Amino acid sequence: MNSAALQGVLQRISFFLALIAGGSGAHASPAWPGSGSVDDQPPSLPFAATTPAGDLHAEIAALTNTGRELRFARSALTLIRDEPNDVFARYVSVLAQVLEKHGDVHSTTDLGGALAVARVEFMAETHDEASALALTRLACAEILGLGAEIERIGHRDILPLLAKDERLRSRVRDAEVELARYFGEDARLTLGARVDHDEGDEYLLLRVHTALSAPDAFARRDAFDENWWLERAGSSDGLIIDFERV
Amino acid sequence: MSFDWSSFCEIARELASRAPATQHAEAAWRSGTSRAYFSAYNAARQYLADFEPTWRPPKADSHVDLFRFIESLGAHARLHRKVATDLRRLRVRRNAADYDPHAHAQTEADDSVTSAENVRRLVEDLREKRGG
Repeated sequence: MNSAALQGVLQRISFFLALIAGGSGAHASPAWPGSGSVDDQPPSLPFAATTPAGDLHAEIAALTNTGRELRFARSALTLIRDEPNDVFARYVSVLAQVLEKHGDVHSTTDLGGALAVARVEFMAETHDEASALALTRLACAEILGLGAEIERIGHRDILPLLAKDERLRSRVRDAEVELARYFGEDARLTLGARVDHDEGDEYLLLRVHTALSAPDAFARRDAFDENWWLERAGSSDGLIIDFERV
Repeated sequence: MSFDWSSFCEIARELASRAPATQHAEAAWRSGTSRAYFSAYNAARQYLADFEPTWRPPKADSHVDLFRFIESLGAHARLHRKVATDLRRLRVRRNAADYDPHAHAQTEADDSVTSAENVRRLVEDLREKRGG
């Protein structure tokens, strides 16, 4: 990620945190970072010149359940926010209103509730389910400060698991940093919730998606295990870390 | 004579190598991923039966309980933890292969077989260290 893009993400995180901090309704909602500013240009995108914003909605919908929506949405919405229909601004407005109605948001359980309500209200206004899903996941990842893409948000999904255990949230963030050391800063990470079908155990699955060869990927995973993960894995039944070759 | 679970790994390798254009290729890859897991799991289970004969899982036939017990073993702790960690990873892939309708790539099967072979080697190392 280049420095401009990183700065943009950090600004957005600050934005959402400010939204939460001001959730009592006593404060005006903060402005979206860069809105109306010529200095905050969106990161350049390979499809920016050829893909009209309207088509991006269809593309987001086509990517449902592939685990790629969030990254796509991060980029696509950077464009959409500047379009006249401004789906992104509409969602942010809905989320801000919901957070104000909710009052203070002190936990990820509260946050999960707020995001779920915002998603429903956004869909009621726009009838745009695909954008609602992508935007909810975008907001979730950025509010939690995770680098990994959130695979899904639902009743038995990531937020309830993360809400249970601050140590687990911290472990995920630490693991993201360590994985970047072994698989590269640009490695794509995804975080999903899983249920063991036979035994009923719930856990989080943090995966590195890599184009490395099998021997290279195994060597890096083994080094990650040896130098960091094995010291911690025994006390973290709720988290499994692996790679997936693409 | 007891069944040789390593043959599961050999069958898994054959299934994982099924060419993409052939009929039922993805079913073969999924089956390869699943057989690879059970090859490694049963190697670990047999190891416990031989070296920790009094241990019983709290829940009958619980695979997760077996992982927890292996990683709790004090002697050769890092080796045991590595076995348990890799078994957990293999189980995730096996669950996806047997239950998840989303596409299961050939690389998943290949990597499951490689990982299962690694686990089996680690278990053999443990047997040697413990005089088996």
